[in-house]
Amino acid sequence: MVEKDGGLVFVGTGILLGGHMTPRAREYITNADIVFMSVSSGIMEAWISDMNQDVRSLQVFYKEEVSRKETYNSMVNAILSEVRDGKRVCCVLYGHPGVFAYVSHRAIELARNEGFTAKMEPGISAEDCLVADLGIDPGKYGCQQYEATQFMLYQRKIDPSAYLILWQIGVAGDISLKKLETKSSHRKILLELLSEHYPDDHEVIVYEASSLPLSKTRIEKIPLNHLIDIKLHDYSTLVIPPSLPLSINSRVEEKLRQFSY
Amino acid sequence: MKKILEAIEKLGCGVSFDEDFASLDKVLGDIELSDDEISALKSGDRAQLEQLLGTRSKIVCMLVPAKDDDDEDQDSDDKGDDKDSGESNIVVNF
Repeated sequence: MVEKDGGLVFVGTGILLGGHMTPRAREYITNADIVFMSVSSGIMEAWISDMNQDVRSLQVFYKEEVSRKETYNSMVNAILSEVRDGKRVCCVLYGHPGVFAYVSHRAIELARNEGFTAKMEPGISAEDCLVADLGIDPGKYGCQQYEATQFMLYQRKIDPSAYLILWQIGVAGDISLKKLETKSSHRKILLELLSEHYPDDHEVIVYEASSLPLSKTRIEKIPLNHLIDIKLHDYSTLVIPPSLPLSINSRVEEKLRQFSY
Repeated sequence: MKKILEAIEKLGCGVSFDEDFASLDKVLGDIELSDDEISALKSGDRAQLEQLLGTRSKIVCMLVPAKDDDDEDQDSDDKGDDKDSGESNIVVNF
């Protein structure tokens, strides 16, 4: 297929304003014909708006009484409309543009299907910050991670010998998908679920990455059963270290030993 | 670029100054800021910074897992029903 004029790239801002955006991301923003953005704060919007003459916020698509699916598809359509018009479009998303981001994956897929060049540049995600700030190596014991409400709603096989990371713990259990904070009653259900696998006094970590220079990273260690009463935000993350040691799979180990002579 | 944005960017890149307020003046160099702006920067007060910049304070940010084709098909059947889609909530800071 012959590639058409117009192109699309998704870039990330990283988490820390001013410090995490990659040089490549900035170059794409600066050189694009049109920049769309969906970022975490008005400050970040103002910062990005200074990088290009034509910066458009995707915030306008969020409206009450409009389903999120419709909202996201409207965003995708707005982006692709400019690509089809032959423009070089850069979309800027908070953190990593491909993590928990329907719009980026969908827009790139559709653009490619239509013969346009479309790609994604990696960015620094909240997970990257978490690993650095907490000194956790996901490879040491393994690591499971889920969005908290999704974790609650669906059947999961929890491995207490690995790290468990639950994102958006402050809105855990909000199946209305409209709240920016849920009540302790929601968290009580989450605690019941976690208590099936972890002791009530197991030490867990509430984590909030720093998004502004000089602002503090939140790293608060609490017993699991204090989760119900602690102050959380929509951007709080719960990190549950392993409660059990790694357990050898003797059957597989035995088979592997046959090769190690 | 507004001076305060320039200052935030400079601080964000100032790899060794994150917790050293005494070095703030050195990092900011010639960027002249008001006392309010310096105070907001030092405290990392997002609300105050947004007020000083006159930017919007309420932001909705996507935080939705990407889906495969099967999910898309399911969504077509359950249009408007977010509960069954496996999507996450609309929040900030990811």
